[in-house]
Formats: sequence, C-alpha cells, structure tokens
Amino acid sequence: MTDLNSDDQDERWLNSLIRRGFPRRGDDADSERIWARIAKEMHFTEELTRQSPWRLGRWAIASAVAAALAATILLRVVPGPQSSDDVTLGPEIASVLQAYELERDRVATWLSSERPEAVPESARVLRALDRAIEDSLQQLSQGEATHEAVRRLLGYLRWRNQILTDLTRSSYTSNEWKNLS
Amino acid sequence: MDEETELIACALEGDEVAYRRLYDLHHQAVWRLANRVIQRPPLAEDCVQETFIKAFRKLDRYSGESSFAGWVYRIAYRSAVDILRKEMRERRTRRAISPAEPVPPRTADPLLRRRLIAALDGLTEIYREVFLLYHFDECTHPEIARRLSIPVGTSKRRLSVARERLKRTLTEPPKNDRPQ
Repeated sequence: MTDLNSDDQDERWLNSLIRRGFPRRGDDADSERIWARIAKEMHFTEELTRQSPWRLGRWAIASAVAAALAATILLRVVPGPQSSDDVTLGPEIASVLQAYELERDRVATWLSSERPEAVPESARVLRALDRAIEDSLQQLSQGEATHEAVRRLLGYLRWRNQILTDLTRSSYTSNEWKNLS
Repeated sequence: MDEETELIACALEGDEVAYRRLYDLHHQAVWRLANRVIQRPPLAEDCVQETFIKAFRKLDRYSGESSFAGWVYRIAYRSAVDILRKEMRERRTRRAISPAEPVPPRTADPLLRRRLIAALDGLTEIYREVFLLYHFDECTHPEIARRLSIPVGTSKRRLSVARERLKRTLTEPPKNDRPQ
C-alpha cells in the first residue's frame, strides 16, 4: 500500500479493494416488475410496458422519424387496412404530408431567420419536430414501414400543424408569417 | 433539443410514457450500481424503485446543469448506501438480539466495504460519479463522457483526482484504531 506512484498502480490497487468489498455480480433485474412498483407508487393510470413506446406520445419527438416523398411512396406500397384504425389513417396522413411538403420551405426560411427568437419555445419544438419527421420518413423509406411507425409520423405531423396554426393566429407572428409566402 | 430534454419536459407535463422512457434509458445503470453496492438483488430492486420515485418526484428540481444520467446516478448512489447501511444495522441488531441468527454466506469483506463507502462519501459528487462509473460500472472514459455530458479529458482528470483522494483516505489508519 505504500508504493503507489502511478495512476496504473492506483487503478490496480483500488480495483482489488473494490473487488473484495463489492464483488462483481451477474444478476439480472426484473425491470418490468420494478416498473410496475414504480407505476403504482406514482399513481400512473396505465402500466406501460417496453412494448408500448410507439404511442403517439410527444416523448418520441427527437428519437424518431424524414422525406415526404418516401412516405408517400410508402403509403402506396403499404397493403390495405390492417385494422379499423387504418381506415382513417391513410387519408389523414396523405393530407397532412401534403401540407407538410407545401409548408416545409416556408417554415425552414422562417426558422433560419432571426424572427423565431421572439417565440423561442415554438421554434424549438418546430425544429425538433422537423428533425423527427425527416428521420421518420428516412426510416420508413428504408423499409421500416410498420403500422406503428406511420402512426408515430402522423403524431408528429399533427403536432407540427397545431403549432403552425397557433403561430398563424398569433398577433405577433401572423403578419410576418404571411409575408414569407 | 435532445430526446432526454424533451422527455423531461413531457414528463413534467404528466406524460406517463415519458416517465417510462426515462426509466428504460437509465434503469440498467442504476441496477448495476445498486446491485454491486448492496450485493443483494431484492434490496437492489428496492433501490432502483426508490431511485426512480425520488427522481420523478423531484424532477422539477432538476436544473439541467449536469446530465440527467449523472443526476439519477447520484440519487441511486445515495439510495444504495442508505439501504446498505440500514441493512447492516438491522443485521447487527438481529444478531445482538438473537446470537443464533444464521450468518449469510460472506462474499464481500464487510469491514473493507464500510471503509470504501466512508471514503467514497468523502468525495465531491463530480469526482465520485466518475469513479463509480469507471470502477463499479466498468465504463470507458468516452462512455463516461457521453453519460455525464462532459469532455473525455474532464472525465480522466476527475478520475485521477478521485483516486488520489481515495488513496489518501484509505491509506490513513482507520479513525477507530487511533489512540484516544
């Protein structure tokens, strides 16, 4: 214990102490059981499992989804409705994708100007949504065309439309918004 | 805006999916730390549960100055040490009341464990978390840097400081051995 000059020696020495005091263990945690206990304690209304994160929750914004063209192609190749939900999914996503394509350049121009500084929160979310949508479309164009992925994309597009609608109505941004067209 | 920032914002608005996603992202690291410190899987599970409940309830106090992973890790360490100390206390009490109490098979050196915990407690959090990630979770410096959102060089420097301070503490004679 006295001749400990180098960092390597310190590392070896400390590792040996730690191995004796806190031996390595290979146990696996039952993560779903722990989560169920947390969910109960936190009074969550539903017990979410690892299999359900594709929900249209806003949490997924930065993690997912990109090019309207690819998704349009996807919609052409995806076989007919797989559930009653799909009956409305196809027409709606086609409509919001069309709006997205039409607005994309105008929104990008506005976001790259200095004006979004006045509405930082909307600009922040819009940028994140645009990234998520582009990523999502990219994934879809690469063949990851699950029903869930399309639903998630739809969630992003709906949210984005809502922000744009709010911006258009806002007294601060409505005029400059119109001028960008 | 990164995914985690978005998740935290959504969780604060009550989005349960965001809470679940935060759990998915961090529970393995918390579990590995808890199980290694406590050495008893059922209690380590309690520790993971306690860590996330504390983190979720205090989420509005997370300032974002340090990484969320580091913040959760610090809560996990405190919870693990609290559970470990409580368990050691209870075991001593049980043995005092009933000397016939069976002694569980010993895998770790309890005296050394107490000294290491005391030494780790003496470290500032920024040094301790890097030390724990490197020595307990066996992360590399790039992994630590990513988890804690710090440069690799900072991770190396902090580890070096942590080791130096621990060496000093651990090579001192234990306070109980000193003449009164």
